[in-house]
Amino acid sequence: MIPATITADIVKARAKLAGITLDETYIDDLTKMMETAIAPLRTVDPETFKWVEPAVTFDAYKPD
Amino acid sequence: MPTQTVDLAYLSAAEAGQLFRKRELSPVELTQALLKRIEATQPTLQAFITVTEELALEQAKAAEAAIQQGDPRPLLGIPIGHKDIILTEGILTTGGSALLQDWIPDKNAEMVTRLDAAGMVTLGKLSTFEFASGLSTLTDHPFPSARNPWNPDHVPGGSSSGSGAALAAGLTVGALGTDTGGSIRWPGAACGIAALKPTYGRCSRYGVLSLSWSLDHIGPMARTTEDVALMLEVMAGYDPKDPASATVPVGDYTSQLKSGVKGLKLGVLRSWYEANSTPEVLAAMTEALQVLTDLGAELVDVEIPHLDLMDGATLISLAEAYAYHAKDLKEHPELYLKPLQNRFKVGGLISAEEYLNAQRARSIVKAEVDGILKGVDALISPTWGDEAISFEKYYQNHAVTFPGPSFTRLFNVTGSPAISIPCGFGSQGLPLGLQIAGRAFDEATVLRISHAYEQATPWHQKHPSI
Repeated sequence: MIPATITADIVKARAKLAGITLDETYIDDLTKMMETAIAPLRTVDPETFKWVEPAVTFDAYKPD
Repeated sequence: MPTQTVDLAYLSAAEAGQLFRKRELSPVELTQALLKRIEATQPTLQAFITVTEELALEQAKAAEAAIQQGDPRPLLGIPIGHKDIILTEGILTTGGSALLQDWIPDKNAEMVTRLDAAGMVTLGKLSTFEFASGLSTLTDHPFPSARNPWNPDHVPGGSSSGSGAALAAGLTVGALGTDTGGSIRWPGAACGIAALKPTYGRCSRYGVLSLSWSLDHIGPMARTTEDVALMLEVMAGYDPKDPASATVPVGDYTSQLKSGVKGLKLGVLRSWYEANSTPEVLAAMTEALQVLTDLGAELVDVEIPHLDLMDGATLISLAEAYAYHAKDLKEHPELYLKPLQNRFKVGGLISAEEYLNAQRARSIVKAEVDGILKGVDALISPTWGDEAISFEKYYQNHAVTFPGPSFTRLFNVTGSPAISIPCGFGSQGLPLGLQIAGRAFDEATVLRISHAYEQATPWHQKHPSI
C-alpha cells in the first residue's frame, strides 16, 4: 500500500531495508520530493477510475 | 570582442550556409572565429568541457573543399557542439561526472554520426549537469557548471547547460541537447535560444547516457527555428539501435516553416501557468498571445483535468535512474556529487506499486493531452515561470530538486514535441521562454508556429554583452 504520507521516518526505514545510505542533510528535501511525487497518485481511486492500459504506448518500432 | 568576430558569432546556420555558397565566408574562417571566442569566454562561462580544435579545423577544411565542388548539403561546414552525455568516438565523454572523467568512447551516438555525415563541424563537448540531472558546483569539481551569458551569477538552465550558454554567447551555431524533464527547453528559455524536444521516438538516443529511458529525448538547439528545423531534418528518422525509435515517416520541416499561423487553433494552458508564473512572465505571455492573434491564430483556453498526476513522473525518473546507476552508486558513491548521489539513491526506495502506478497515471495524462490536441493544433504556455535562478539561491535549496516553476515536464510525460523560443526579458535582464507543443510527430506545425512568432518579434536577435 502507498503510505498515507511519506515521512522522514518512512524514507529512513526504506533506505535501511534497501541497504542504501542517505546523508542526513538531505533527508527532509528527499522526503518532500517523494511526497510531492506520490501525493497525486493517492487521489486516484482504482475502483472507480478507468485506467488506461498498457501503461505507456508510443509508435515505437516493433519487429515483424 | 571585435565587431567582425561578433557578427560571425551570431550568424544562423541558414545565413552562414548562404555565405559559404556565395564564397563570401568559408567554414574555416567561421570555425576559427568561434574557436577564438570559445577560448576568450571559457574562463567566465565554462560552456565547454572539451574543445576539439584540431578536429574542427580538419572538418572545416573538408567542408570548404566540398563547397567548392558544389556540395549542396545545407549544414555543410556549420559548427556544432554536443552535450557531454552524448558519445563521441575518440573524444572525451564525461557525462559531467567525475566517474567518467577519463572516458573516451569507441563509438559515436547515432545523432553525432548523422550530423557528421551532414558535414557539420564538431567544436567540442558542452557542459552538462552531472549525468544530465544534478547541477555541479562552480569551482571544486572536474567539470564546473556552465554559467548564463546574460548574467554569469545565474544558472543557464539545464541540464543542457553548456548547449544553451554556448548558443547565447555566440560560441557555436548549433548544439545537441537531451531532455528528460525539460533539459533542452529550460536552457532554451534561460539563455534565450530556440530549443526543440522532438516527439519520443523521433530522434535516436543510441549512444546517449541514459537518465530515465522512458522520458529521455535528444533534440536540436540553435538560435533560430529555421536552424532547429534544418538540424531536425538530418536527425529525425528510424534507428534500429534505439528500441523506442519510431518508424513514422520523417516530415519536411523547412518547407512549411513560412506557412504562417492563420487559421490555426492554439490551446492556451492559461489556468496552469497563471497560477505558477511571475507577473513578468504573465506580461510576456499576454504580449506573445497578442502577437499570435495578430498573425491570425485562434486562441482557446484549455485545461488538462488530471494534470497533477504528472508529478508522478519524478518516481519514474528516479526509479529508472537508480536502475541505471545502482552499481556505480554502490561501488563509487564518492564520485557523484552529494546532492545527486542522494537524489539518485531515492530511486532505490520507490516501491513497484508506486512506480507502476506512476506509469499508469502517466498514461491518463497522455490520453487527456492527446484528446485536447484533437481539437487544437498546438498548446501554448511559458517554458518556465520565472527568470533563471541565481547560483546562490540554487545551492541554498540543497540542489536536490530542480527549481521551478516548470511547464516542460508535461511533454516528457506525454512524449509530445515541444519547443522553447525567446519571448522577452525579466526585470533582472534574463530571457523568458515561450513553449509551443504539438501532436505526436507533428514537429512541422510546432516549428511553423515558432517561426511565425519569431519572425514577428525581435527577441531572437538580442544577444548578451560578452
